[in-house]
Amino acid sequence: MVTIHIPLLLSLLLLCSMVTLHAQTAEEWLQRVDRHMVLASAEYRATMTVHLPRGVERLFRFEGKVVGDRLGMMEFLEPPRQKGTRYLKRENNLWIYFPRQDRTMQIQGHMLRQGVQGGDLSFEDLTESGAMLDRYRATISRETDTTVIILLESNDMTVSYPYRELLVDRRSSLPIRIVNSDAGNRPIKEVAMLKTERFGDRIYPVLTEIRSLLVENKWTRFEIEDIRFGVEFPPETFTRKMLER
Amino acid sequence: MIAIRLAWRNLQRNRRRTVLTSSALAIGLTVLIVQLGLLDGTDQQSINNLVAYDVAHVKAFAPGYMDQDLPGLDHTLSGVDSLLSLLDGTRDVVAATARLEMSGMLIHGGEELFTRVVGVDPVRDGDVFGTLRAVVEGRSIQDETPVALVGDRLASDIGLGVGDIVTLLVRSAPGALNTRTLPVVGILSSGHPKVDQFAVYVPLSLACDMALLPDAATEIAIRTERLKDSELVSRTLARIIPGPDWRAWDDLAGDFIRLARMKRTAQGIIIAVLALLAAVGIANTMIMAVHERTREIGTLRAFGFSSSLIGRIFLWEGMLIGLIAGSAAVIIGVAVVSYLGVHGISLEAYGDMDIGYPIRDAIYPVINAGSVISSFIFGLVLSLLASWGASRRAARGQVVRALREGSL
Amino acid sequence: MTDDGVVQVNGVEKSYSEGQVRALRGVDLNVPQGAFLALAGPSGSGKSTLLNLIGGLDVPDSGSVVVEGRQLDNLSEKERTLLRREKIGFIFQQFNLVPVLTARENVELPLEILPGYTRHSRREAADKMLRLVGLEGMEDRPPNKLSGGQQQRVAIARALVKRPAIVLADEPTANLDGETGMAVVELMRRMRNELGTAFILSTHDPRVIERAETLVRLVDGRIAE
Repeated sequence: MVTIHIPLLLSLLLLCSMVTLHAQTAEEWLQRVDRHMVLASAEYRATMTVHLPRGVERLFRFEGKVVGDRLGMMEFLEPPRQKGTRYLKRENNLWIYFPRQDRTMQIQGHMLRQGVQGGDLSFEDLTESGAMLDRYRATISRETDTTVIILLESNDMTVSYPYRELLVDRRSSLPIRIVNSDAGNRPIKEVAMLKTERFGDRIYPVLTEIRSLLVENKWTRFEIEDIRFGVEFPPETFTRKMLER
Repeated sequence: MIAIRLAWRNLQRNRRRTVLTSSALAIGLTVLIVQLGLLDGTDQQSINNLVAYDVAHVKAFAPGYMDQDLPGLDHTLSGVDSLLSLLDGTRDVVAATARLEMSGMLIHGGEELFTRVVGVDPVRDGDVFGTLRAVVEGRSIQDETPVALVGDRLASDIGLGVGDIVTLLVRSAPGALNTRTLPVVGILSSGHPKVDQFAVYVPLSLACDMALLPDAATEIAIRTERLKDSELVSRTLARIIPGPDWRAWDDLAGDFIRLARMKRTAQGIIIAVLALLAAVGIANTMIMAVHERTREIGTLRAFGFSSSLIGRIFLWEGMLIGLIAGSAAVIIGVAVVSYLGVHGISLEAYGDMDIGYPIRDAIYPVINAGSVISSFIFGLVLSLLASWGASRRAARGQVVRALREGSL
Repeated sequence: MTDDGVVQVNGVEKSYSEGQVRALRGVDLNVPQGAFLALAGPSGSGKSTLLNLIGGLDVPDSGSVVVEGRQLDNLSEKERTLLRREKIGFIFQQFNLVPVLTARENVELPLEILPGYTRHSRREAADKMLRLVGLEGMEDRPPNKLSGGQQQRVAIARALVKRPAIVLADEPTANLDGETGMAVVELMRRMRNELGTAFILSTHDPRVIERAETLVRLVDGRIAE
């Protein structure tokens, strides 16, 4: 008999906990995630390691400033060949400034979404930070004691990944793992937050790995060296003048 | 006649010099003929490849499409089916087909390559382009079944073979990424690097699905009765079907035409230098001849040879050098070009490098009568000009001095 | 001054080097048709200059030269060329044969620029002339396969082939040994006899002078009587 009661108890316990957890909707979870992830305004310095299938590894170091998904500016510090190259994003326009040639190039349309330096992060990815809640419908697919799996489905096909699956850590409300899928819900990339840090009441991933699910052994690692949130930028920060300074 | 006869005899007087001078010019002219053969061959091969695999005779695009640095899906043609049926009933249009082309990644195992994904109409494409017939291994695209054709260079770059499964990743028109995993059913080898090295061909319907653009195309390609009519047909179509941006082949092949023109200019400079060297040789030979034969010139003048006749003798000597050199150059040049025309000049050394021309593997020079004749005439004119100075000198000399001192 | 001569030279003066060298100082000369005249004198006495003026190769500074009734200094360069072509034959000290042509072709040369000759008639005239100068059988030899005397004979044939009114011979024996030189002079005399052509020879060879029918001595650009 005892043998019967123990699983029952466990089941009851589990049921109770699930009821408590269901107290939060998918939207609420997403809101929490966005609260951590969306950068209303921030200034950071980071390194990006692009690992290509044949074992080629490229390291880039840069610093950036970002205001939501409207404004962004970043500047390469390394490698020496790229040093001083700057990207400016304003709404849907992107300019790249090449100091060696003292030349500015405007990137438009579909070119905005090309991967930077052969990696998995596009210009858009690097220069903007928008709320997922604005762009996706969220549903909870599965929950455990420690995690919640949220499915995101885009309202339209303008986003790079119309389908996403977020594995959110209940305690921190931060995604541990994101699977990004294409227009036909076929997985393309997996993003893993390998290390997070607390900044006041915000928890932010400082080491992220973006791994291709199509190309074997291809990944990009993004490590934040230093980040400050809620920075007030002077009005001229995101201008062509500052880009070409 | 006496001028020619004397000129001819005089050339035999110092055979070594005549041979050397003629050889210099002959080498120059041979190089010219071979170079022109090479350029003509390159042009012909390039135009054939461009028309058969790339620019067709006439194309229609959505306005703005051609203004992009790297054309994408921001500007596409819609209502393609009705556009095609309209074209089918149009005079001067022999065949028309739609293509949807976009940038994408071709992924196979650990390999990933930037590529152009081209959706082709399995039924219509072959009437306009040679692409679907350029399959050298496996089979072509026969229907809308999702399969891929890959160029042989692209295939060898990432170790692809018929039967392998590949993934294509594209950015759809609205922006979402889209992938398809499909088998490679055929390997293409067209001779056009753009086809063989950078493109993956899939059925048009699949390309439309991937681009999230039903019944759309990035271009409508047309074959006309004759290539040289394409400009006219393009203008006619622009009038009767306004809206799309109509372009004739030479407009689309602008880069190639500019390059070809540039190469001809560069060649012109080389020729000018060669010509100058040959001309200096001829001029030198002729001036030496005048110097050596001063007394003879005086004698002929004493006999009543007019100064212009004396001048003509030397002009003819130069001309004969040109004639000998030209004839030799034509024989050697045509032989070399013919040989190379059969065996080709290998481009292996360039590997996958872009040589700027829509050709690969080998260049096959061709003999163009116009080029050969103009090289020959060029040689004659050059030798005529080069002997002009000597001829004037011979004609103007003082008879008495020539006879007495042996100098003019 | 009679005007029945084939050549009349009247008070001709000629200087070179901007007047520094006075080659002829008032020369008068009348050469009748069929004359065999020697212009003798040391070198620099003006013989060649006088021959050049008579041959229309040069024009006098003053005075006049009339050849076959035409005053040369009134003629253009072109007209003088035409006159030479038809009326005057030349023989040179160094023979001046065209080395790339055969003996026959050298003789044909003056006929090439005269109207009325066919290839055939040119050849016939040349061969006949070569026979007359005793070179039968040597028609096809190039000059370098002929002796000096033979070359000068070719030159004589060449000068005479167009049947000119005068032949001007500038030191015709200077490059020949004594015997050959005499034979050449004899040949010229014979040709004069046969064809009636006037010969004017410049020479300082005493044996040539001996055989001349008329002798004109030039000293310092003047005729010494």
